[in-house]
Amino acid sequence: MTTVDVAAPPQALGDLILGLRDSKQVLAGETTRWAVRAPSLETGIMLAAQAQDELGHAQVLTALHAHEFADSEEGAERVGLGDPLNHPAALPFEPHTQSWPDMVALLCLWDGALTVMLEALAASSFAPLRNSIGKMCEEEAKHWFFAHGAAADLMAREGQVPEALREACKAMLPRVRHWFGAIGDLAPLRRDGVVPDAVPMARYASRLGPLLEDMKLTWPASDVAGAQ
Amino acid sequence: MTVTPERYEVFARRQPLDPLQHLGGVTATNAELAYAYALTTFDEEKWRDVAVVSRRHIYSQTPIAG
Repeated sequence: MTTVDVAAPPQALGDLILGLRDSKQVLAGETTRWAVRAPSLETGIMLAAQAQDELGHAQVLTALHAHEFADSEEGAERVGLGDPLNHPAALPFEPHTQSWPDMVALLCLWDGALTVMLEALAASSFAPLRNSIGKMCEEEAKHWFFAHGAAADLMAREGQVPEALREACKAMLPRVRHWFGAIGDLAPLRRDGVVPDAVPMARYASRLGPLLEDMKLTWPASDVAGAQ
Repeated sequence: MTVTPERYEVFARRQPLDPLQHLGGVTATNAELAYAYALTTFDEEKWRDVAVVSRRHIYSQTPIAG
């Protein structure tokens, strides 16, 4: 897609930025909670680093929205980090996961969804957004390696652990798919040329495919078509 | 099947033609986790390439301790 800079970004993009920001705040809280109760010290260090990344991303997204979309200084103010706005565009995942398999499922599915969405926005024709997202995508890639490795670790264990991960993912999948259908397909932004004409859900389904296959879970084939 | 943590050695380089530099090691139950830990642990520089290799796959005529 040719990056012809969009001068006046649509409000839908501002809404999505806030939704992503809220999602990252909630995810930061959850990764912080597990950093001090992780199954290993290395895992705890990884989660603490991810929490810091997520808070940094939330800060960048807040500043971006304030600069490009807020119509007044008062409108630009947001509540503190401990109280996300539950913006309609935010990922509707349940915080306060109860078990480590639940947390790994959240990292794979929900953080994976955030990653795919940011990658779509990194190719935006809106320069301030494009310029803000690049480093985020580098850090998101690191999060994905960890999530996928943690899932592989659980799948290799004995007893009920693999099934616990599978059940957690199975429970989350419909909500993720619904989010992509309702908010995350970016149809209005694709029509306006603000983001490339590729459906994020297809890319997400393609990326999650091998993991879901290992767990004997399926994603509708129609969603994978068009993945780039 | 039990999952046993093992030692992975971490290598990295700044530029494509640089020799890989040994940075140290991490302990993990699989290569992907080891790679993620390496990216976080050795992030003091912006490495272009990072690689991890299980100590099991290192060949030596003398024992490698640790």
